[in-house]
Amino acid sequence: MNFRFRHCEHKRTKSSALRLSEMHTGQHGKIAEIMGGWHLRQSLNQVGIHVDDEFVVERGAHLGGPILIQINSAQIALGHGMGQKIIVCLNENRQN
Amino acid sequence: MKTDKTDPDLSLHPDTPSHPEDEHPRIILLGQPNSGKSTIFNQVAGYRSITTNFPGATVEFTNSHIRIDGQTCDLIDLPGVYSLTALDNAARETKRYLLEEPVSLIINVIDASLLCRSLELTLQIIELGKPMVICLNMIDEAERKGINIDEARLSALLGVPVVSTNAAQGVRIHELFMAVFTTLEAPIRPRTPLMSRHVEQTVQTLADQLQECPAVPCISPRLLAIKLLEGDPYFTVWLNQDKNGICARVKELQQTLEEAHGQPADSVISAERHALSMGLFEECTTLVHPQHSWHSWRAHLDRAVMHPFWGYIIMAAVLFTFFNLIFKFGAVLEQPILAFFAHSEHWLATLLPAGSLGFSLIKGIMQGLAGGTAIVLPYLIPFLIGMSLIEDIGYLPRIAFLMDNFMHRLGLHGTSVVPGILGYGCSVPAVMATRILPSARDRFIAAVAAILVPCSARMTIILGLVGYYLGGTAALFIYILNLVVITVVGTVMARLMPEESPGMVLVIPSYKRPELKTVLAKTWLRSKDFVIFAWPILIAGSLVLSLVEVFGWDQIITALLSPLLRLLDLPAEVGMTLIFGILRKELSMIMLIQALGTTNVASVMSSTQILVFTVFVVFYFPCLATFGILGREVGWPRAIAASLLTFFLAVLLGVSARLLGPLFF
Repeated sequence: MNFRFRHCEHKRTKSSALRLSEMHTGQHGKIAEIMGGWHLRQSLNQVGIHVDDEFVVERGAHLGGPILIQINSAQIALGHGMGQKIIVCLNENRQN
Repeated sequence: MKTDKTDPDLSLHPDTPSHPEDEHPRIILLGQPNSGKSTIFNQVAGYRSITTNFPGATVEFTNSHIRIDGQTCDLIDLPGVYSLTALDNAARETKRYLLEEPVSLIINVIDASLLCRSLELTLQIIELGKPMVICLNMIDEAERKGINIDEARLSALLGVPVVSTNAAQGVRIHELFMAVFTTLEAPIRPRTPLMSRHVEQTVQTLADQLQECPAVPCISPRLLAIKLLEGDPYFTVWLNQDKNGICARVKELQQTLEEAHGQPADSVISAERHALSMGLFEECTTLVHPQHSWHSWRAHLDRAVMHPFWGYIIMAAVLFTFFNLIFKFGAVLEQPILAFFAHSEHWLATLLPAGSLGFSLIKGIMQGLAGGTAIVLPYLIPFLIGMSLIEDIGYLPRIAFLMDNFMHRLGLHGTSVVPGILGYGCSVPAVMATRILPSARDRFIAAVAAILVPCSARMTIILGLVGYYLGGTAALFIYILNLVVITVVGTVMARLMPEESPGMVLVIPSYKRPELKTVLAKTWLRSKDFVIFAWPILIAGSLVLSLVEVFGWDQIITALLSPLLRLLDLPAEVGMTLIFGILRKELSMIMLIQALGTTNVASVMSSTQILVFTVFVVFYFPCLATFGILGREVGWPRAIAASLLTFFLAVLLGVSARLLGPLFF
């Protein structure tokens, strides 16, 4: 079953889909899809990262490094590989 | 919010008695990592469970018998879990305890500043059907973030008592336990908020079928149905053995959920739980603007500390200052104390004839005392205080974040740096901390790296011997050499065991002001092991060594070790000290003083020999306690392989130091 980009047809805001690892510091977005298996989905869901959740990038990935996001009032660090498996909708109307 | 008030599954399961009649009620502290469970435990049980400001500090359970206002109970501090679906060994330990041990009441400890996320675990705990009390801990932090929680409303929504606390300051802990005892006397059944109609129907269909199944494990059919639909391996193992067609039914229902909701079944249930938590959160909280000064101060600090360039400069500066301060402080104390013991020895020699049994015995005891007082404590105590400060402020997870990229080169990820840093304190908790890593291969590589990190016992040898006699630069060289060796070993192991690491998901906790009381209690708890356990062995060992010398048995041991000592070009007397080092690393150093018969090591060993001895002791065989834990955590064949590896590394590096040392000294 293909779940890809299901949530990226956001009507009210101008949005575009990309990988979390491609986002830069200060950008706002919304989780669109978790492109991984059961283990990845569970480990993200457990710390409060769910599809449709809004977040802000506190530190973008540099040179293949990890990414730091603020989501559901928690700060969460994700490895670069994980960031590549998370598809997000960029919210270009809300940028720092 | 819809709640089910008549759910038949909410009764305590008849097969698991809450507690045997002749025992005290068993209360467990359960919550997400870093929510303050151990802090609450320590407030009522005395400081017995190590607390830190990073997720996953507790990896095994601690229990204590407590008495409050004449009422008694057994209180158990379990490792934190984000969900009842366990993804790592620490969480598996908690899950096993919850499902297999009799539990009278659960205190669900919640970090109030992360209420929404924490409620997702609360909803799962409610499904266990045990009496429970919710503790909204760190309420001050929630208020600073602008989250005001209506305790009474939350209590009404979930049907359980709710008490807000600030455990670090001991605020309202008494009220929490009063609520616990009241609930124990008159158990209140928690209410289960219901999921959306289709998901609820699917869960109920499976639960009904499970109810009729004779071989269902001892948990509520509703919880089992949810966990089976989520594909939790802990329960699907049971499913694979089943012959009643449940397995096919579960797959069919998972398919139904996927088709109806456009997501895998586990995501559907997780999203439902998330939506329920959001609903509860919105109903019981009011949000105001966060306290600006606090919020912006933290944000500014994080921007610097986790900066892609300045972050590393700050980390290097913090670690350099940390070790430098310990070295400076320790050296100031070491010199006069050693001088005092040297003076006492001369004085003893004037009283008793040298070589007599009485002289040897008293000298042995004095040297055991000298080693502990002059070498171990001056470095150990400042180190433990510094380590507690770094842990409690919340800097460790930030180091893990910075090191993620580097750790990937070792085939690991940032979280693996946590056992490594704990390894600078003691290898035993460091090896145990590898439980926070989900993959067995990552745990093994991280455990080998952790035992190679010089623990505080080895630090006393590096600082007390190399630092003191050869200078701070030589001590720094050993630390750098150690990091290089760990990098090489890690890289080779990662290449030999190619497997994709699951990657880092690390919750970065808020900065916290360290409490003096906690820092001192933690330092005492960690140093108690040395003072109470190791020091007497050390004095006894020193005494044994004196007797061995008097009776001339040392010749046999020395003869056995002579090939190794010749290879390393070390004096024959140090052979015995290496044997003692297997018991505890600091013994090597203290025994060295005893074996050489002087507190001035430089008078009998050359600079190169001091360097070779230290390099060898730092790398060779982990102490017995570490070996035991390593065997338990990674299995005995791997523990033996790791120990042999460390021995060969020690010989190789010792010989290299012997050959290269004369170029520098």
